[in-house]
Amino acid sequence: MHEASIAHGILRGALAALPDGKKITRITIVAGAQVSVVLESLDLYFQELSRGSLAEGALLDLQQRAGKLVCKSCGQIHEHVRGTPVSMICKTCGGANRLDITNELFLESMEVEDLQDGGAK
Amino acid sequence: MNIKIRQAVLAHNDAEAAENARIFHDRGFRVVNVMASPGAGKTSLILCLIDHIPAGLTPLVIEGDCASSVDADRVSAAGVGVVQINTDGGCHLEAGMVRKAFIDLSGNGPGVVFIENIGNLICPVEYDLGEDMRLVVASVPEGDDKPLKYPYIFAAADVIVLNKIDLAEHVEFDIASFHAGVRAVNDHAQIFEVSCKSGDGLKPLTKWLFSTD
Ligand SMILES: Nc1nc2c(ncn2[C@@H]2O[C@H](COP(=O)(O)OP(=O)(O)OP(=O)(O)O)[C@@H](O)[C@H]2O)c(=O)[nH]1
Ligand SMILES: [Mg+2]
Ligand SMILES: [Zn+2]
Ligand SMILES: [Zn+2]
Repeated sequence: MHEASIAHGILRGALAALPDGKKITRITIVAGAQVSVVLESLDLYFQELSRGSLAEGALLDLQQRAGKLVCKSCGQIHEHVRGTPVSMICKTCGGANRLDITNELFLESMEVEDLQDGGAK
Repeated sequence: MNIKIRQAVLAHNDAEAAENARIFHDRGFRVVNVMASPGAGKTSLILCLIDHIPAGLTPLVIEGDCASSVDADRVSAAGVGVVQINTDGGCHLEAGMVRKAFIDLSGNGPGVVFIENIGNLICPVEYDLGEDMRLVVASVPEGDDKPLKYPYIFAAADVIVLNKIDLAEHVEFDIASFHAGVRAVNDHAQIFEVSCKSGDGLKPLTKWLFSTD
């Protein structure tokens, strides 16, 4: 459900940054490991909300950052795969892991092209 | 042509949360955002905390729920100012909803506003409400592995309350491994063990909670 509010935030931010005479074809979003977004659901809401706007039909490119498991003993870093339980034990030395994550969620960039004559207003 | 934007997707919510914080503090309230899975004991804990609130502090409650006003009615029956937000199926509270609710509450500080977020261990964590403190409730019947399975909400907590400790012996809950799990994802949160049923453990929690301002 919260994908609806995130789609809204993406659309709002992208349209606000759009120069005159252009339309949006692709939007890149970066999400920290802490952020839970289901891309399929986000896409659906975005298509719905963007209909008739200069972002209609834009592709969403979601770059989700992985969490890092940092060993408190040997310092070795292993990737934490989203949706799997956090592994408390370091695979390298058997020491205790600490999960290192970030919670950013931002619009990184967008791809735009010239509006064709007669295009959406 | 590629255009760099680099702007928070939830910038709108973040701005409203900052505004909330100002409004809360202007009226003399500290704000605790209570998050947990459904049935962990959010409402029970809020009522217990209010029972122990020091004289001179006014408690207020903002109840988030997908539907119904059952929880708000419980709080109201305890004689505490409460306003209900129905998200109509929505999985989290947003700052704008909280602001509207708070404006509807009468009463002036000094005091504490408890916000009961929607029962969900995933979505609420992304939405800042302008709170001073994030309190996550876990409960014994959910199992001791929850911090490892839902690391993000535990990572975001300032304080973690393990509730229904009275049931620990009945369900083979390993308290030490719960603590270890919390420490794997969050090295700073305070952890308290309580039973809202027996009242065990509430004293240290309330002492800590109400003396940090
Ligand atoms: N045994 C035991 N039961 C408890 C305790 N705390 C709460 N409960 C029970 O757990 C159930 C759920 O408690 P609530 O306080 O309604 O939980 P909640 O998190 O507010 O639930 P939702 O708002 O529906 O998500 C109730 O039946 C409570 O009586 C406790 O410490 N021990
Ligand atoms: Mg409740
Ligand atoms: Zn959600
Ligand atoms: Zn190691």
